[in-house]
Amino acid sequence: METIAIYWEPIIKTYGLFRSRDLVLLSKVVPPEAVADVGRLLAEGDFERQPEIALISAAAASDGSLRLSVVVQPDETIPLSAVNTLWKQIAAVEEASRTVDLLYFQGPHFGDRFGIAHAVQSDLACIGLTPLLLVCSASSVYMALPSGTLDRAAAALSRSFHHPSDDIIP
Amino acid sequence: MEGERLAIGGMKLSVPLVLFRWDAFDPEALQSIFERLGAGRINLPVVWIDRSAAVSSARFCIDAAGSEQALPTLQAFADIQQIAPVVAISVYPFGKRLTLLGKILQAFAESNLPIHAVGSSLASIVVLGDDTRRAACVEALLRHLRLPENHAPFEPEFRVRYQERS
Repeated sequence: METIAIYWEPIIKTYGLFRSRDLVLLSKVVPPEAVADVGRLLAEGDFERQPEIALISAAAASDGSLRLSVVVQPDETIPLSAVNTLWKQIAAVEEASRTVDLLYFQGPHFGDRFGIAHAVQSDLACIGLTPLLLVCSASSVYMALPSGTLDRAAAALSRSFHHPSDDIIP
Repeated sequence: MEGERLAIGGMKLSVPLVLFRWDAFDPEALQSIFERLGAGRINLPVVWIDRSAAVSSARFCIDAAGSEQALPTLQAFADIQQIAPVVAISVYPFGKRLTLLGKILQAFAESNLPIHAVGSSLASIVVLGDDTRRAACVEALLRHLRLPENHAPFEPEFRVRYQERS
């Protein structure tokens, strides 16, 4: 079966830009021989007490090591320390932590459409802003931004993306 | 030790994809590549760009069936490595916890299956594995994940293609 999709949008439609501030980006480089143990640790961790994980990104280097990044959203009831205890047990050759803002959105059939990633890059480049992480998969576009740049990024993305509401804070 | 299998809602496997890996990339060149691929109506179903570390890294995929059109653009850059074919396996639901990520890492690593990249979307976690071993990837995942009886099929039952609108 084949579905023919027809799009003609001067500005790409979305289901809204979602914004979150003051999250924490935790990154570790996990050696290849430790990946199974890290998986086991995360799978069996005390997940009831974990703060919400807003974004996961991992990419393998040519030596098989995995650069693993998670964006954590601590709140009043579950502080960052709840995941930090678990995170600190992960064997790593390198690690980092920083405060970030998060902007994400999705749109009709984004996963099947060309030009979405370029529109994001291009809009942000216009204001000289570089996302720390950009993850586009399925129909979602997620970006972790340097803390304090969220509103500028959202405004810049209005060049290419139409969003039905000015500010959506989940 | 597999532990308890985690209940999930379903899995979806992509068509074979070509993965491009570019470490320490030139941001302007990458933007130009994306622009040219977009102009050629070439979709990037999966994109990961990490500039949070000292060495930047970019990963992106295109449909293997349409890769010939894209290769002239990409082969001009000697530092871009091509890894093909890969499969993007979406596991639902993400759940906003690290548990599912842990199960996926464990499943692949214990079966000596390469993990090229992992990323979350609003609803799922997507893992890139070797397409030549896609059955083994599913088998490994199902040793750690439990599907409902009436789960959706793994393979897409239809494909979307573009039609010019005049």
